[in-house]
Formats: sequence, structure tokens, C-alpha cells
Amino acid sequence: MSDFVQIVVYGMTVGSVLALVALGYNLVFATSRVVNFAQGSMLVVGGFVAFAFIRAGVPLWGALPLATLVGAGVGVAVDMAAIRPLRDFDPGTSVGWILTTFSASLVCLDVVKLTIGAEPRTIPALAESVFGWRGSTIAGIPVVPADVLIVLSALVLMVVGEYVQRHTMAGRALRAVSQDRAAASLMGINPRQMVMASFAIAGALGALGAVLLAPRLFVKFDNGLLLGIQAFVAAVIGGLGSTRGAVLGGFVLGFVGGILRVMSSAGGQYEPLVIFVVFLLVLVVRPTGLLGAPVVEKA
Amino acid sequence: MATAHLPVVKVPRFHAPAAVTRFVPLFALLAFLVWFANVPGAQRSWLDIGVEATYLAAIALGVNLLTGYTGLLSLGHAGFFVAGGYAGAVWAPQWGLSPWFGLPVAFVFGAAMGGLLALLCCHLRGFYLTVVTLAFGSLLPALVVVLKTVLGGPTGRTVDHPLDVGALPFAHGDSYRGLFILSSVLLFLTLGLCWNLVRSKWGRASMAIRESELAAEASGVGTYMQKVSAFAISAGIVAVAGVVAAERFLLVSPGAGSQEQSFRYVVVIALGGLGTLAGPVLGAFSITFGFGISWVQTHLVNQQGLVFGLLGLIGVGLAPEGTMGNIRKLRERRAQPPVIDEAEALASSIAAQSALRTMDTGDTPALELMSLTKRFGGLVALDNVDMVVAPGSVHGLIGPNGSGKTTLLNLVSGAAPASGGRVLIGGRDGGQASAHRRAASGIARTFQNLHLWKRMTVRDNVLVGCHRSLRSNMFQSALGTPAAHRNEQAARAKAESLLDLVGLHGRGDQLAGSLPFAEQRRLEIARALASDPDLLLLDEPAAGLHPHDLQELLALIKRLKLTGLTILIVEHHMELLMKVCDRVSVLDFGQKIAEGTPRSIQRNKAVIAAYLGTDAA
Repeated sequence: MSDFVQIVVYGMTVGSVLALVALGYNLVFATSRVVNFAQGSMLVVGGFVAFAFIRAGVPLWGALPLATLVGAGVGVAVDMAAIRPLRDFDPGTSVGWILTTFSASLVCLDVVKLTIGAEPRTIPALAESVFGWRGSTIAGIPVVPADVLIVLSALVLMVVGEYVQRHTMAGRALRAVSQDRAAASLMGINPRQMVMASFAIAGALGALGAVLLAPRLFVKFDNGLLLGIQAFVAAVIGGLGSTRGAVLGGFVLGFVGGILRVMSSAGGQYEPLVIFVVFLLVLVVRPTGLLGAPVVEKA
Repeated sequence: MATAHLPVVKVPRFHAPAAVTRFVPLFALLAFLVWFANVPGAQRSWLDIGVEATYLAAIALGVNLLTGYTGLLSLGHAGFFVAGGYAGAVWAPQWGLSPWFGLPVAFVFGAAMGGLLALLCCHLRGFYLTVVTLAFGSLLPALVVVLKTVLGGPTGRTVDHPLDVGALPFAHGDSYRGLFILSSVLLFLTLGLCWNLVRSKWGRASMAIRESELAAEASGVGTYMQKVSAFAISAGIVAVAGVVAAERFLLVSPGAGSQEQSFRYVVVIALGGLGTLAGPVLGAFSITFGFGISWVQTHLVNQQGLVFGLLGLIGVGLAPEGTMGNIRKLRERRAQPPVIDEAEALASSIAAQSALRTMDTGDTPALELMSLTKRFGGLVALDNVDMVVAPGSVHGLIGPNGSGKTTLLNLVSGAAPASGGRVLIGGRDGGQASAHRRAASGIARTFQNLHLWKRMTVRDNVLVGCHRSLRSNMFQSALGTPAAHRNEQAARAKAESLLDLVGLHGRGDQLAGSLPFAEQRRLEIARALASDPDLLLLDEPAAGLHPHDLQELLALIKRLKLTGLTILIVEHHMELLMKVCDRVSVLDFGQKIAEGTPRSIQRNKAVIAAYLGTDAA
């Protein structure tokens, strides 16, 4: 029973953050047909920037929106530096954008290292108590308000995101660009703006995810690539471009991580191995993901 | 028939670099390396940098085969670097082999690992493949924990039986010099290997995949295995470099296998020039020697991520084709396009007809469709279509938009699987074959919206078409055997006469993308003919053509027919169909509604109704 609770707690918290980051991948992919290889480094940037604000005396509830804002700014910077200079390119056949977004991620990481430092850090939990509830122990496993907050805020963000995409003008414009760029720009939508907005939102989601996850996985540089890849795998498992798919994929990987950690204390070490196998299996059996639609190329 | 007309070729050609000038960079590199090894008072640290520069250059050349030529971006190749180090410098001597055997052992081990990974993931497109390689790179830290005894944990394993590099010729017992000599020799071997490969059938097939996988498959290139072989060779080369690095530090450390290192390889190539041979060497040398400068070493050595990141951003953003790519572009811009004399072009076109074998047309239908069906979900795109194409005939296929013409062509050429029914090619069942196997059984096609390999020369486009008739395999090409050379010469001669045939005499050295539209159309036909097809599928060859170009196309199709080639044309252009077709089939909503001579089709009520609506009849 305690194993089960531990798996659920880990799976729900880590899974919901993976889902958030995966949504960032989806959003950027939708507007630009590009996978932002710098998305993982947003987790690092967001976490360290929040830490730096807190160290400078900003209260946690102020540091969170500030870090999110910085994340959005870095997202825009990545777009300006890595995507815009390439101008017209076909993301399907050229590889330049993979290089530039990965370059941007290395630059982001090193800038953080130089300005804030390279050691792993911690950020205190967002709340010690919610309505007087200070956490309880279920079957010997402590469940604290921060865990519930992570899951709740991730869920709220997903619902809001889905609502905005479906029921607002901006959301419709975004979907129009993702389905037919040329037609959208003929309707007066500026696709470049949509791409930039998607990079900004993806950056913000990454930074937010980092702060939410900090009590559980710390703020450290290894997280960038590891969680970045995991979130991408989550997006692919669910089907790149599908919102529900991203959430599903995030939780699947979160629970996989939880199960591994319960099975052995060193289980986390095996995580890349297991995820690699899962990833390959999904790509071999169902390359379009569990909830994605197949793409047909016209001859 | 008109051999007496065979004109004296006076068309000015592109300035082809003489064999001597082509080798100048190679001699310059050799001279530089010899000078470098003999710099008076050369310091050990200086030679050490030389070792790194040369093996990084070899790595870059290897990765370039995959990324620059085949168009697949790997961010996991540093894993093969470490694997090569373990296999060649640690395990092989442990098994009692001479340490020198470590080099081939590393190559084979790396190539096998690379091939295995590629077998698992080469069906993926674009960035999916890159992410798999990224994830592959993150396996190493996990493996280090799992296989602690074999890999030696995070600190790695020492090299207990180092190579006796001091005993190499010219090393004079100095192991630093010896290692530099070894590394330089390996660089030259790698250069030779890449040189042979990229100029062969193998290299053209790779570039064809980079430019358009669909068209490569239709030209008989087995794209999947081609990608796997590119992956394997590049991994093997990187693994050998891993042995040199292990000898340099006398240590194999798993830390060198990180994705950042893999990324470094690609940045090195991107700065020098993707898809060139000089580029990777240039990039590797300038970056290694740049970091060798003592100021850089003291100030920037801990900010390599920043430096390489910025180099990647600036390099790819400003000059997507790298230094060598830009030099090539400048050279192309300066060269004048050749002036073509139309009368001469026509004469050589007629003369070149002998390039096509004349086929005896038997009685077996060239193509027979038996209740062929294709469903896309609930939509029936083709509904039980029966059709017979007589050998040696020109058969037209018409129908309103969305009637299933292109779908039929895709099923016949193997680009898409049928949902039901059979395709008989020359009386044999085509099975559920893939496009490149259909190409091998004698079917060639052109595409409605041109799938040429635009960044390859006109000649290379046609040469890829010869892919399946070129018998030499990858190993013969890599070693440059006489047989491979002879095959290559024969294929080149054939390509020239095919270009003559379609009226592209003297254009062989131009990039395909720089041809005018009508000539690109004809180049596609030449490429299709290069595979010696029995059946040629033309998908709307007249679409978008000027009336003048249309007449040339008509003449070309008639000339092709004279050789006994069977042709199936999908077309809207009625005039063309009426003039060249023996029979015409009509599709509407996926069903065949009429078939007959062009005249009878013109008067057929059902056809008129399908095109103009029932009231018109």
C-alpha cells in the first residue's frame, strides 16, 4: 500500500510537470513545425532564476511570476536567435533549426552557470499549509500541500490553455497558423507573431514547471537535458500536437519513474534506459503516438 | 538512325577542375601536417593539440557522411567515440589481441552498434531520429552505473596496454610524435574512404535521400538500408577516433560521450560546410587550434558550451552552408550557364536514342490491374479497377480531379500499399512491394509536382536513376576498386546520352534546381529512364508547360515509344493524349467508366457526363 501511494504521489507530481513542459513542445510545434530543443533548458533557467530572486530577498510568491516572465523572455530570445535568422526553411528536410535551438540551449545553460552558479539548489515549497492543512501521512508516505499544489496548478493551466485555444480569437489564430500557415497569413494573421507567442508561452511553462518541481527534484543542470528529453518523449507518446496526448504521456512517464524508484533505491539511474526503450517501442509500433493522427505525404 | 548527324560538340562546358587542382587541398593538408610534426622545438602540448585536431577532423568527416550527405542529424555519436575507446583500447588488448588490432576492432564494434541503433530508428523522419540519438546519448551515464565492472564507473578505465606509437616510422621513439603520425595517417585513410564513397553510387544515393526520400525510393534506392549503412560507417569512423583519444589520455572516460560532445562534432562540420569534404577538416582544425591558443585556454575553457552554442547560432544562422558551401556558391555564381544551340540539341537527342535498348514487345501485358482497390478510412479512392496496358503501347489515364488517378499511379509504383486486388507487372505479381523493389522490377515514374534532387547536379540526378543497374557494392566503392571504376564510367556515359536524349545536352554540371521548369520536367524523365524501365509512369507531364515545350514533350514521348517502351500517362491535356495515346482509360470516383481509343473516348457519353455533368449530354 505504501508503495502504491508513493508511486501515485510521484507519478502525479512529476507527471503533471512533464505534461506542462510537453505542452510547450506541442505549442511551438503547432505554430512552426519545429521542435524546440531548448525547451529542456527552460527548466534549468526558470529554477535558477527563481532561486536567484529568492536569494536576493524576493518572497517566493513574487519570485514565481518573475521567473515565469524571465522564462517567457528567454523563449522569445530563442525564437529571435535560433529560428528567425533561418527565414524560409522546410523543417521537414533541413536540419539547421535543430542545431540552432540546441545551440541556444547550451548558451542559456552557460549564461546561468556564469551568472548564478553551477551547484544544485533548492527552492522552498510554495506553501507550507493550505487552509490550515499542513500535510498528512497516508500509509507511511507523507503527502504535503506542495504536492497537491503542483498537480492542481498544472491541471488549471491545462484547462485554461485548452479553453483559450478553442474559444478565443487568439487561440483560433494559433490553430489556423498550425493548420495552414499561408492561408492564415492571407486572413491577416501574422504567423511570425504566433510563433513568437508560442515560444514565449513554452518558455513560461518550462520555468513554471521548474519552480513547481524544485521541492521534489531540486534545481540542477542535469535536469535540463533529462527532463527535456522525458517531456519530449511524453509529447511523442501521446502524439505530437495533441494536448490530451501530452497530458497522457506526461503521466505515463511520471508513473514509470515512480515505479522505478519504488522498485529500487537506485531505480532513478535506470530511468533513461527504460524511457529509451519505451520511446523506441512507441516509435516503432505507433510513430504518431497514442492519440495523434497519422500524417499522409502527398506524392 | 541519324548517326551521320552526330554533331561535333562545341557547347561550352562548365570549367571542370583538372585532376591536379582537385588534389591541391589534399597536398596542402599533407604539407601542413608534415611541417607541423617538424616545427623546430615543437612542444609536446603543441603536438597534443595536433593529435586532437586530426582525430576531430576524422570524426567530423565521419559524422558528415550521415549529417551532411544523408541529411540525418545525430546528437549521439559521442557515444560511439567512447564505445570505440573501450572496445579498441581496453577490451581488445584484454582479450590478448595486439593493441594494434584495437583499431579495426573499434571500427567494427562502433559500426555494429551504430548499425543496430539505426536499424531501430531509421524509419523515423527528421527530428524524431535526432531525439532518439539524444536519448541514446543519455543511456551512457545509466550504463556506467549498471555495468560498473566493465566500464569502470564514472571515472572510466585506464589503458593498460597502450600502442607502441613511438616505434612508428619518423617518430624517433617520441610517443607524442608517434601518436600525431598515427592520427594523421588515420585522417588520410578516412579522407580517402569518404572521397571514394561520396563520389560513388553510395554517395549519390545518400544525397538523393537528403533531397527527397520519396524520389530516391522511386529510383530504386533502398533508402532504409542506405541510411543504416551511413549510420554504421559514420559510427565506425568515430569509434576509431575514440581509440586515438584513449591512447592520448591513456584513459577512456564516459564523460566524453555526452550529447554536448556530439553537438560539438556537428557544429564543427556546420562551420566548415555540411556535405563537403574540405569543410569538416577546415572546421575541426580551426576550432581545435583556436582553443589551443593559450589565451583562449585560460579564459574560455570552462565556457565551451557558450562558445560552441554561439558558434552554432552564428554559423548556421548567417551561413547555413558553411564556409565551403559559400565558396562553392560563389564559384557557381561566377560560372556562366552554357549556351545551347537548339538544332544541335535536337540532333544529339535523336542520335542518343541508341542509349535506350530496343525491346521486343511480347504478348504479355506490361501491366495488368485486377480489381485494384484503395481505401483511405471510409473513402474509397479506387474501387475494383481492372485495366490492361498492352506492351509497347502508350496508355492514357484521365478523369476529373479526385477520381483516383494519382492513387492508381502510387499503387502501381509501390509508393502506397493497395487495400485489395492485384498488380501484375509483365505477368508477374508485384506483391505488396515497396517503391524501390518495384523500381527494380522495371517500373519508373515521374512526379506531378517534381521531386528532383535540387542541390545535386543534373548528371548526378540521372546517375541515381542508374542505381540499381550499377552492380558495385558499398565496399567496392569505398575501396575504389577497378570494377567499381569501370561500372562508374559506363554509368556516366549512359547518363550523358540520356541527357542528350531529353534535350539537356551539356547541362550535366548545373545544379538541378537551377534549370528552368520545363527542363526539370525533362530531367525527371531522363532520371526515370536511367533505370532501364519496361514501364514508364508519367504523372501529368504537361502540367504547367508552355505550348512550345509541350511540342518537345510530345516529340520525346513519340521517340520513346519507338524503342518499344510501354508508357502510362496520367494527364489532363487532351491534345497531348489524342496525339500520342493508343488507348485511354477514364476514371471517375475511383471507378473505371470507359476505355478505348482516344477518338471513341472523346465521343463517349459517360465520359462527357463525368466531365461536364449529366445535363450536357
